[in-house]
Amino acid sequence: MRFGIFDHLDDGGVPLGQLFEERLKLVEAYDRAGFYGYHLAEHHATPLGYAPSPSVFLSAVAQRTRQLRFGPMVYLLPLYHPLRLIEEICMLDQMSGGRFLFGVGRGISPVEVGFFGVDFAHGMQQYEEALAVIRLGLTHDELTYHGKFYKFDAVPIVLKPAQLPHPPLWYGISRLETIPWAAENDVNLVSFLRPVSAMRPLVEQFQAEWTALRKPPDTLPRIGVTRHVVVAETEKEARNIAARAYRPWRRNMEVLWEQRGVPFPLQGELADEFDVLQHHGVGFAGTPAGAREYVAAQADGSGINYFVCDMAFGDITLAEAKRSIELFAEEVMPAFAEA
Amino acid sequence: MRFGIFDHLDDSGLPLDRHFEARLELIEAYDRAGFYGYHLAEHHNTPLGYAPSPGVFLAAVAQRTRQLRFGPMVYLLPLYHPLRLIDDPGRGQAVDRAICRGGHAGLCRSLIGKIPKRIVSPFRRPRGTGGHAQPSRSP
Repeated sequence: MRFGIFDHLDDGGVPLGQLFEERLKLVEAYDRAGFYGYHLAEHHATPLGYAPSPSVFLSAVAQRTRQLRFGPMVYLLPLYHPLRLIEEICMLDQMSGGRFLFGVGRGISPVEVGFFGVDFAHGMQQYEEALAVIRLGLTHDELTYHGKFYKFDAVPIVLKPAQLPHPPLWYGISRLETIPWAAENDVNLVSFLRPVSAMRPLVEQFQAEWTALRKPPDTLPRIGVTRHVVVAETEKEARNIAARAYRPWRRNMEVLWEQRGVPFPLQGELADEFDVLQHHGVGFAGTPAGAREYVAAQADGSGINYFVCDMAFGDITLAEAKRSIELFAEEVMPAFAEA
Repeated sequence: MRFGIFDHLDDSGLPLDRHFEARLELIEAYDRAGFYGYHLAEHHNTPLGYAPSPGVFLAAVAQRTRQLRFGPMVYLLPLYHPLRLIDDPGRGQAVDRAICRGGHAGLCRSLIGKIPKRIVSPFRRPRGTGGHAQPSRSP
């Protein structure tokens, strides 16, 4: 099992400069603790995400870390000009010695993509075209492409990524239908909020597709879940922190939808309180021993090989998050070390 | 008299990773030497400019320097979606970012609190529409 971090970089109730600097200190802690990947969300015009251009924050992350891989989870491809994204991916991969993780998606909020003039109904088609263009650009010296959304004729591509042919792809999975594409294209998969029982069919399908393609089992990409995790010396302390910090995060998940009068798609599914989230098994707050049991149950129940923690959400303080990370790194992660 | 630096970040014959790292070391030297501003060009698909997204390189500059101001010379405005420039339209919150360039320079500015005013002023919001307010606490 490898461990990762997912981060919305949502509003923390502190001045923005402080939020960024404290988050970079946490990222340094993730690096020291041995987490594999740092995955940063892209959201626009909402307190849910204060790194609307993940590339910019990730460039700072590259300077503050040594081992940690990092990337967007995910770039909203229709919101970028493909040439710029090719350039940014190459810059970040080169500036980090090949630590970039290339997360891709179309955007799940019609409100946010609508601000950019992107028609949500065509989002999937535009995303697929954008990804094709970007992969062509990352792997060729010259880009020619004629599609519905994008047209390029013999554009010289002068930057190259450090990881060849291109940095590994990551995708936030929501549907079983995506699995064959992911297996064929060596795409790493992360699911949000999906309980272990619903995760197992995805993992088994991924393994089956991988085998059918005659790819070696030990090269299976990462497939995992994201969970809110708070660890403290006592269960009471951890649960108190989680309950308090979850509320502003939960509020910010919904606020833009509400402002725009668009039904929030996770209504009823996403718990209003952390206790309920934890009761459903899709979040954990407690002691290190409890966290070990929780991660083991998540792994056994679903077969995942990647466990992604969201350890800094809402108004969790720097000190609270640092302690949580330390305890998780010292007392939970070693129990799941890969050979 | 103040002194500044202009940089194309053009091809140097070095591999890209060493090219970037060597330039960051130079920028640390500019910072120590007391230069006022570091001005980075934006060019695309040419060895004339290996920082086609200046915002990305400048975020690294922010981490490697203490005094040096920095910015693009210049952002090619028509090549960006305006929301990546100003972020957050219509909201009074998080205007800190909107002062400069939202997702890009705004973040650089927030990380270190300085971008040459001469460059950012076209994007500055009129006073009274948010000003320099810090992001308000979420309800």
